[in-house]
Amino acid sequence: MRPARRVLLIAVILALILAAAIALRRPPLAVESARVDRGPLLVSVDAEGKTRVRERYVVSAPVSGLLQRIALVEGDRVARGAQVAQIDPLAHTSAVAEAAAQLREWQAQRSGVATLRVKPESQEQARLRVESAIVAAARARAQSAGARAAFDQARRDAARYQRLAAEGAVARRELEQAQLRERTAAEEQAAALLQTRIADSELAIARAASAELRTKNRDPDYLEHVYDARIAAVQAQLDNLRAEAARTAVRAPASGVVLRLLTKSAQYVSAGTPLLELGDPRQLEVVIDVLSQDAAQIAPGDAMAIDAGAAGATLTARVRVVKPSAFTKTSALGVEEQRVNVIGDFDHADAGLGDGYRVEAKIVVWQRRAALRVPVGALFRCGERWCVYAVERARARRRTVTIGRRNDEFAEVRGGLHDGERVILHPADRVGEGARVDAREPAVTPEAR
Amino acid sequence: MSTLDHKLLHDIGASRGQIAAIALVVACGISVFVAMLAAYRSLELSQRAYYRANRFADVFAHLTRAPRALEARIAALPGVATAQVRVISDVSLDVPGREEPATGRLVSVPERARPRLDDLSVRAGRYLQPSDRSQVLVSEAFANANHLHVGSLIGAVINGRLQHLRVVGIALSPEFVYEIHGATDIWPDSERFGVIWMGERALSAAFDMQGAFNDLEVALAPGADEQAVVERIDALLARYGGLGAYGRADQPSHRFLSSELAQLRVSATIVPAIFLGIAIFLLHLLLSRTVGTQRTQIAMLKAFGYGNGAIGLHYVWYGLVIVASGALLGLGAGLWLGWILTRYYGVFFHFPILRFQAGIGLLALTLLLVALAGVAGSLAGVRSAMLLPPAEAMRPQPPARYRPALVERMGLHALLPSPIRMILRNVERAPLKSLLSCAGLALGVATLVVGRSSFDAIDLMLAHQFYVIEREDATIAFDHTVSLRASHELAALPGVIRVEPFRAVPIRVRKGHRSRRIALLALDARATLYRIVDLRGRVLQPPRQGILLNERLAQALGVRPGERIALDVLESARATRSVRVAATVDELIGTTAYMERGAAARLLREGPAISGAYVGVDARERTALEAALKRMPSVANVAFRDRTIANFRSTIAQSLAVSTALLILFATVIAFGVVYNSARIALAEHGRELAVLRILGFTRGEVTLVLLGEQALLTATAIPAGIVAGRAIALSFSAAYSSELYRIPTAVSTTTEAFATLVIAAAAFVCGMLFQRQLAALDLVGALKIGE
Amino acid sequence: MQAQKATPAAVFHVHGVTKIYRMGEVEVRALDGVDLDLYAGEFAVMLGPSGSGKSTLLNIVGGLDVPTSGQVFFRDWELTAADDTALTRYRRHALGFVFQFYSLIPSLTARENVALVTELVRDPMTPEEALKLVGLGDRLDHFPSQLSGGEQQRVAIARAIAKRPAVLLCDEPTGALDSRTGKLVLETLVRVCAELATTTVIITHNAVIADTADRVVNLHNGRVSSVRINTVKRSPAELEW
Repeated sequence: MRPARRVLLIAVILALILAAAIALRRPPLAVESARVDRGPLLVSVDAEGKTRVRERYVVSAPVSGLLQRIALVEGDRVARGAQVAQIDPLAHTSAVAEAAAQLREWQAQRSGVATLRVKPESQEQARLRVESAIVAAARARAQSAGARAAFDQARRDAARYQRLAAEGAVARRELEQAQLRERTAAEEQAAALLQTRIADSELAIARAASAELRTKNRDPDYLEHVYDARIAAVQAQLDNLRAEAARTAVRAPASGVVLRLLTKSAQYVSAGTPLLELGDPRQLEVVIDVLSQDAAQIAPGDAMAIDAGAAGATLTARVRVVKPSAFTKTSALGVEEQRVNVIGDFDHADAGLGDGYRVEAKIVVWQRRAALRVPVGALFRCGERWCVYAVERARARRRTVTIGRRNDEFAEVRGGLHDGERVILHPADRVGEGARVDAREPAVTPEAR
Repeated sequence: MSTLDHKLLHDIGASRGQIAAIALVVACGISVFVAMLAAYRSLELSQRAYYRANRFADVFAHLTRAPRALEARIAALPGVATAQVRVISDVSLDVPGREEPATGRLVSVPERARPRLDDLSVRAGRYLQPSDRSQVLVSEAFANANHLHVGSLIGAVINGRLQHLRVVGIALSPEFVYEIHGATDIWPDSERFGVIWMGERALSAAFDMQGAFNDLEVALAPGADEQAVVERIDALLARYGGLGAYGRADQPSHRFLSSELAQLRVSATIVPAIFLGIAIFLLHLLLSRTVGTQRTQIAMLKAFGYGNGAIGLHYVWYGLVIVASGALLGLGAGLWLGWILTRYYGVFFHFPILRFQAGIGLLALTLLLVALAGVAGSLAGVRSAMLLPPAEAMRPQPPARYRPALVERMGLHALLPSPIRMILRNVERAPLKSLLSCAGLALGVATLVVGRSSFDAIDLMLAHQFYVIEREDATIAFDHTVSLRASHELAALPGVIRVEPFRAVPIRVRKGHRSRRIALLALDARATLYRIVDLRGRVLQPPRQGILLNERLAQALGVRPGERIALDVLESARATRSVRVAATVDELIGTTAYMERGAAARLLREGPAISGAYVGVDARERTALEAALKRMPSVANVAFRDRTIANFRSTIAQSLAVSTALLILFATVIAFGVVYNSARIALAEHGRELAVLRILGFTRGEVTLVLLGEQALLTATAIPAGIVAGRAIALSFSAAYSSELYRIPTAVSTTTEAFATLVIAAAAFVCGMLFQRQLAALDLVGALKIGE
Repeated sequence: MQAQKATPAAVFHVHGVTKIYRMGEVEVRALDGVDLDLYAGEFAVMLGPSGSGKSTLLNIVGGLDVPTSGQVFFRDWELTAADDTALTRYRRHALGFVFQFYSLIPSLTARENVALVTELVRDPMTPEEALKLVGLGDRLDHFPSQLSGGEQQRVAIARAIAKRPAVLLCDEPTGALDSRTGKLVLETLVRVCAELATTTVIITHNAVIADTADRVVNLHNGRVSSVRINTVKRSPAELEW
C-alpha cells in the first residue's frame, strides 16, 4: 500500500477510536443543586398544642336542685353579674320556712325553761334543815361520846369489880350491878351511836336535798344553753338556706362569652355540677407541650410562630412562661415521655381562633438574620465530620464543612464553603469525587390544577 | 456404508470448522429452548402439585371483623366447596441479631388440626399442638435469612406489647410461594418480612378477636363461577368491612409466579427462533457453497447413474448431520442450564419440592424443531444439486459478472484503492447473501443490546426510584394511623434531621364499571424527600384539590383530567367519596395515586393523621436511631434506603453476571458462526484470485485484507444496524412487558452499545486472526494449475 | 550471431535443481538435476510433454516453489535460499506472470486489473499505456466477463508487463485459446517483449510456437534434454496450428 494510503488509514482508525472513547464516556450525571447563600436561619422547637382562653370561668350549680333549661348558647356574650341559669327556688324557699318555724319552736321552749327554776324559799328551807341537822348530828355525836365514856367507865368498873369479886372484895351484887351498868352503858352507847348515825344520815339527806335543789336550779341553765345553741344552729341554717335560696339565680362571675355549655337541659343537678364555661375568647393564650429536653432551650420572651392549619397566615406569639415541672405523657407512638407546658401569648389580640383549637407551634430558640446557610439535603457524614459535594467547573468535589445550628431545611455554615458556591443535593452514592455533573436547580412544576 | 456416505463423511471432515460453527449456533438456540421450556415445565408441575397437595384456595377476602359463625354461612353459599376463616395481622418483629425491626405477618392456624385450605408443609420441627400458646411456625425463607431454627425466640409487638414467640417449626405455604409484603412490592425481602403461623386461640386473644375473624379463604366447587362467588362473598361481608374478595389472579404470590411463567414461555420461543434462523441461514450458505464447489463431482455422479433423489437426499443428510450434532450439544447444555435455572427460581419461589423435569415431549419437540431447521437450511442447496444438468458441470465456469459498485458510480472510485473496490463489488455481487450475513451479525449485536438493555432499564428504574423520586434515608411506617404530632416525636429522635410525614390509604378507584385497587399516598406540598417525578424528570406537586393518577391507570379507567371518579376507602372506616382527577402523571410504578396531605385529610373526613414518615438521618447516629425505633410499639416497619438499594443490587448482580456471561457467549457464537462461515465461503469462491494476487507479489497481509475486508465491512455495517435493531426490539419488549402496574423504560446506555460493539468486533477480529493462519497455507501453486 | 563475443548476462542460473513430490507412498521426480541459464532480453520457449517438469521448473524459477536440491540464481541473488518475504518482493518487482487460465480478478475492470499491479511498484507504466500496448486501449473499463478469451489473456499480459519486470514467465499462454486468437496473443507477446527488452520464458507443449523463440529448451522426464538456438525466427502470423 502506498504510504499516503497508510497514513489515511491510520488517521481513520484513530478517529474511530477517539469517537468510541467519547461515546463511551459516561454522560455527566444529572444532579440537583442549590447555592450556599446568606439568609435567615431559624432553629425552633416544633410542637403541637392548643389555644386556651386565658381566664376561664367554670360556672357551677351553687346549690342542688332542679336546673331549668339554660337558654344561653355557646357564643353568647354575658355581662358580669347577669343571671345565666336558674335553679328552681321552690325547694329552697320551703326549706327556709321550715327552718324559720323550727327556730320559733326552739325559742319558745327556751322561754319555758324559766318556769323550771327552783323557788328561793325552798332553798332557804333546805339550808335551815341542813343547819339543824348539823346541830343534831353534833349533839348526837356528843352524846355518843358521853355514852362511850360512860361505857368505858362502866366497863372498867365492871372489870374492876370483876377483879375484886374474884378476890372477893366486893359483893356479887355490886359486881352484878357493875356489870349491869356496863351493859346498860353499852346499850346506851349503842343507842347513842345509832342516834349519831341517824343524825348523820339526816344531815346527809338534808344536804342531798339541798344539793338536789341546787342542781335543779342548774338544769334550766344548762337547758337554756342547749336551747340557745339549738336556736343559734337553726338561725345559721336559716341564714344559709336564705342565702342558698338567693343563689338559685346563677350569675356570671365575670363578663365574657359562653365557651361551652356543659349542662344544657333541665335536670336535677347537685351542688357543684359544672354548668357552663365562660371566658373571653379574644384573650387567648397557647399551651404547647414540649419534651423536657427541648424545654431547657426555651426561655420566656422567645418568639413563636403559630399555625392553626387553616389557609390563614401564621400568627406570632411570645413565650410567657415555661412551666417548672414536667408531667408524664404517653406519646402518639406509645412511648412515655416527660413533657413540659409552655404558655405563650399572642402578639395581636384578635387571633381569629377559638378556644381549644389545635395549633402547630414553632418556638424560635435561635435565629440569625443573615446566616451563611447550606441546605441540609447536601450534607452527609464522612467519618465524624460533615461533608458536601461542591460543584467546581462541572465536577463534583468533596469538601469537609463545619456547621453550627441547623433546622430541618438549612444548616449554618461555619467553615468549608463560601457564599454563592453550588452544592449537590442528595448526592447519595451516585456521585464520586471528580465526577462530571450536570447541576441544575430543582425544577418544580406548578401545582396541577 | 455406501460410497455416498463415505463422501459425506469426507465432506464433513473437510469443512469441520464451518460445521462446528453452525452446530454451535444451533446448540445455543436449542439449549435456550430446552432450558427455558424445561424450567417452565418444572415450575408449572411443581406449582400444580403443590397447590393440589396443600389445598391452595381459589378466592380470598379480607375484612375488618366478623363473627366466626359466619363461616358456616359462607361455606353454604352456592359455588363454595370449602371455606376457612382466620385472623391475620402484620406486626413489628424484634429478631435477635438484627438491628432494625422486621415485619411479620401473623396468620392463625387451628391448633388441633391442619388448616382446611392453604395447608402448611412443615420443613423442620413440628406443627402446633393444642397446648401451645406462644409457640409458632415461621416461614422457611425468613428463618434462613435470619438464622432462626427450631427453638429460637422472636419478639413480636402485639397490640402494643412485646411478646416472645418460640419457634417450634419451619414451614411453607402455597399462599406465599413468592413471599412479598404487599401487592405493591416487587422483590421479596426475606430478611425483613416473613410469615408466622400461630395458634388460633392465642392469636385471637392477643388481638381481641376471640370468636371473630378478619380473613377468609374459599375453595370453589368444580364448575363454579369465580366472579359469582366473589360477588356473593362481597355481599355477605360488606357490613363487616369487607374490602372486596378476589381470585387467584390477584393473589400476590400467585400473580407473580404466573407472570414469571408466562414470560418464560415467551422467552422460550423468541430467543431460540433467532438462533435457529441464523443457523438456517448459515447452513444454507454452507450447503450452497458446497454444492457449488462440488459441481463437477455431482455431474460425475449423475453421469454415472446416481439419481436426483439419491443425490438430493445425500445433501439433506449433510444438513441434518450438522444440525443434529448441534442439537445434541444443545440438548445436553440445555438440560444443565434448565436445571440451574430451575434452582435459581427456587431461590425466589419457595416450593417444598421443586423437581427439575424435562419430559419426553420436550425432547421430541426439540428433535422435530431441529429436523425442520436442518431441512429448511439445506433446501436451496439440495434443490440446486438436484437440478444441476450433468453436462454443464464439466465446463470451466466463466468469470463471474460484476458491475462497478454503488459507491463508485457516485464518482468516488478515484479515492478507493483496488482492494476496497474489490470488496465493495463482491458485496454488491451477491446482495442477498451479503444482506443476510449482515443481518445475522446485526442480530448478534441486537441480542447483546437487548439482553443488556434490560439491565440498563433496571438500572434506570433503580436510579429513578431511589435517587430521583426517593431521597429519604429511611421510611418509617406505623402499625395504625396516628396523630400528626407523632412527626414531632420522630423529629426528636437521635439522628433525625428532617421528617416528612405521609398518609397512605388503600383505596379503590371506580369509573363506571371499571375499577382498580391502588394506594393513595398523601404527601406534604413541599415534600423533598419523596417526590412525584414522571419519566421525563418533571417534578409534580401533590394536588391540593383533586387526585393525581397514573396515566396508564387513567387510560384503563377511561377517565381524563377534570372528570370525577368514585373512590372507595378500603380501611376500617369504609367510605365512598367522589373526587376530581386533577391531572395524570406518567410514572414508573403505577399503583399509587397522590394527593396533598391536607386535602386527603379533608377527603377522609379526619383530622391531621399520618401513616408514616420519610426521614433524613444523620449517619453517625443511625444505630441509636434504630435502637430507639425498635422500642416504639407503634412503629411497624423501618426501611433504610441504602439497605434496600444494596439488596436490590446484590439480587440483580447475580443474575446480571450470569446473564451477561450467557449473552456474550451467545453473541460470540453467532458472530463467529457468521464471520467464519462467510470467510470460509469467500475463500472458497475467491481462493484462486487470492492466490493470483499472492503470485503477483501481494504480501500475505494485503491478501488477507482483501478476503477479510469483506467481513470487516459487513461487521462494520452490522454493528450500527444491530444497535438500531436492538433499540427497536428493546422498545417493543418494554412496551410489551409494561402494564398498568409497571412501566419498563427503554434504556440503552452507551455502555451497552459499546459493549455490543466490542464483543462482536472482538469475535469477528479473533475469527479473522484464526483465518489468517489458514490463509498462510494458501496453496499458490495448486491455484494455478487446477482451473475452476 | 557469432560476432556476439560478450555473452549477455545470465538473468537466471539454474544449477542442479531437483524436485521430488511425495504423494502418499509414491515418489514423483518432477525435476531431476536441471542445469540451465537464461539470458537477459531473450525470448525462450520451454518445450516438453505433460509431466516433463516444465511447469515445475517455471514455478521454481518464479519463486513459487522450492526445489528439493539445487540452486537458482536471479542475477546474483540466490532465489532458493530466500525467505517468503524476499520471494514476495522478488515476484512483485522483478517478475511478470501470464497463466493459462487468464486469472484476472473478475471483480475489477481491465484497467483496474492492471492498476492492481502498477500500484505495487515504483515507476510502472500507466495501466492505459500497458493496455494500449496490447491493443486494448478502448476496452479499459470492461469487466473480464465482458471480454473474450483472447482479450482476457491480453489484459493478463498487460498486467504482467505494466510494471516493467525484468522477466516475464508465461505458462501455456495460448493453451486455452483457439489458433487465431492464440496467434494474436503470441504476436502481442513477441512485440511487447521486443519493445521492452524483457526476458521472456514461455512454457508450452505446442512445438510450433517454438519457432518464434530465440532459444528452445527441451525438457524430458525432468531433465533438459536439449537446448537449441533458433536461427530462423518466424513471426507468429506465419504459424499454423
